[in-house]
Amino acid sequence: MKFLKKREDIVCFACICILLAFMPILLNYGVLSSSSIVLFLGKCIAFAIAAIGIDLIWGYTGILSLGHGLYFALGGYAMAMYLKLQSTGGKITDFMHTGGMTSLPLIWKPFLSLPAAMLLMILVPGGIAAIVGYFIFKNRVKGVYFSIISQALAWAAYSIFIALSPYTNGNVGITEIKSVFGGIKGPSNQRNMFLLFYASLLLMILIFAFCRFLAGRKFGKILVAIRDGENRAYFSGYQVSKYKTFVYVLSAILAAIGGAVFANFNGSITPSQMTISYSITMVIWVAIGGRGTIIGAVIGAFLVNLCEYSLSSGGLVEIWQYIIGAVFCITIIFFKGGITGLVSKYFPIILKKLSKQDNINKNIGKIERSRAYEHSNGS
Amino acid sequence: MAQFINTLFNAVSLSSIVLLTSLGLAVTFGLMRVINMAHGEFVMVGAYATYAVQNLFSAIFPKSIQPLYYFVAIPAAFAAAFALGSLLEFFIISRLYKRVVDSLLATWGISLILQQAARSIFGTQGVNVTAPPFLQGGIFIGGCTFSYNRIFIIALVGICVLSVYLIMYKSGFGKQMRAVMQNRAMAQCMGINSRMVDNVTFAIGSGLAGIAGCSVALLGSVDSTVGQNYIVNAFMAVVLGGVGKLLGTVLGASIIGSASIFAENYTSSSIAKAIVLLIVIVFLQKRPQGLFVIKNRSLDE
Repeated sequence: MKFLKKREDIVCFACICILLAFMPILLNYGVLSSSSIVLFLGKCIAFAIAAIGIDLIWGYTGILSLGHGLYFALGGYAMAMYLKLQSTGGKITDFMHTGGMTSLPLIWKPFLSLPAAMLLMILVPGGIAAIVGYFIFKNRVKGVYFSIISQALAWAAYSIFIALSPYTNGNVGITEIKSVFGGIKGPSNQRNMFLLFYASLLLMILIFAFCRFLAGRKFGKILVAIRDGENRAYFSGYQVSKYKTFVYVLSAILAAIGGAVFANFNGSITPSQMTISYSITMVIWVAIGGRGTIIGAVIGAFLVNLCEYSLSSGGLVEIWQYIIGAVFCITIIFFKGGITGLVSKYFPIILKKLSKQDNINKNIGKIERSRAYEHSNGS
Repeated sequence: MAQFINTLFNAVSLSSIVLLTSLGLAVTFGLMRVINMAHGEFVMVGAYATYAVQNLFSAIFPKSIQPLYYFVAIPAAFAAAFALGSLLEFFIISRLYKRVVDSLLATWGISLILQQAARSIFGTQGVNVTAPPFLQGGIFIGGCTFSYNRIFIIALVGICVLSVYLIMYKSGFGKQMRAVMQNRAMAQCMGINSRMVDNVTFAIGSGLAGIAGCSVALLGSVDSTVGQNYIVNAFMAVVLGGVGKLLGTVLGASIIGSASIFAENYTSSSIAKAIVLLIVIVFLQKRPQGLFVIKNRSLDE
């Protein structure tokens, strides 16, 4: 019981992972009829990775970024550019033709090889986040001012991406790409899809473990200290701005990795992933799942997206937006801890009721002991 | 010369639109420190109110007085957004005054609902508001065109800024408002009903967004995301000007508006806007509090 209480998030995460790991097997034996659900779960894994990043910066450090869609999309574009070049065989793409280009532009050249693309996928968002974060946090821009600036940043990047359509294919984005393991659509490519799915699952497990390790150490405590009393953290001698910049960069990189995984499963990446509303959607996952716990971000990302998936496929797209808006609002106002907050508050109470008899016995023992203590003091 | 005057006129025109959308924010964000992410949706509400009034007029009244719908539409848009803002404050914002970041997120939830409501009621296709005949066309002076609806919007902004100034600094209610925002506890001790002041202040800010929607409807088709196009610039104008100063917002909006127009001479309009935003972000590194700073010695705001 004690183990369960202390490591309940790991148990929960393990359950999610085992469930996920069974999905392709179920599909293989024909229990699941279509492969689209597995593809969708793959996207959810990508969302969960990005959500963990958001949780680190918002849930732990208390910095609300409304522009993480930018980093998500940058990671996605880096991956998609490599994959697009794979499918064209290194030649220039159709939209570059339309844009009047005759040879591959310089920015696209590094994406011919996978290692370089992977490196850029992490370095570009990380670098941008480092520059932005360094100056913003050094100048002590905080709270809502940071949120406003981050959303302006995402918006500016979005309009630049659309304007540079010869390089990025504007509004349409980069489409018709396969995954790193080859095509994943259709029954003949099921092997590739499973490979991609398990690779992403492994990636998510590694990231979860890493972030939980960070959050559980002194580092995580300092982040929470910054959230709850920034000036006190300064006065205690911590270089708050450096911690903030580090977390910002880390979460940007996680968002980029999430974006790259997403591009693999989705088969395309568009600038709509870069918008402010998409960025806030990611925050919604974390808020509903429960901020300030890594597992909350994972639960939120899966739960919200699965609900949306099942409702949207039933022709209830209209209602979905009402539901998510209302649920988000209510969560923010009344349940600050989200689902994990609710569970961790009420789960012990339920547990207690279940083991009431056990507790009563213990309590009697306690009371007797304290009485004996009082007695000995009194006399 | 003609080209320069044209650019100048466009700059003033764009600035006035930015200013009109950020004026409401100057009240809700500047005075109350509430980030209303649904502000763009109030702009949308105003635009749809204009559309509704137009349809109502063409259904009921004879053709001769139909063009006058616009003069009814402005108060109607204000009233619709005012009422909605008052409701929003009463049910949601009032619970979140101490949690600024959370109020931002909660209002985003509301904006999702409002957007979907607009789609359910008016359809996903954009609707068009036809400008009344007296606002169509323009004056031509020495090779420059001054279109009437742009001139009208500039005038409308002037009236709005003036009335906000009068309400805030010259009226009894404005005095109460500023008192509550500066020192809530003391204002309450003086017998000011601070809950009422909060509610009306927020509603006025929302109502101004409604008027902005009324003028936005003249410029292009209205759909559920119309407000989103203006919201980023509006927030940046308030932050650039310095939170809590009306003059700051006017200046911030003019800088963003005219800089966008002048940058457009060299590049495409969307890149110009992006560059201006990036420049503003860089500038805010130098002066995180904006152009006009209210001096304050406290450590935490």
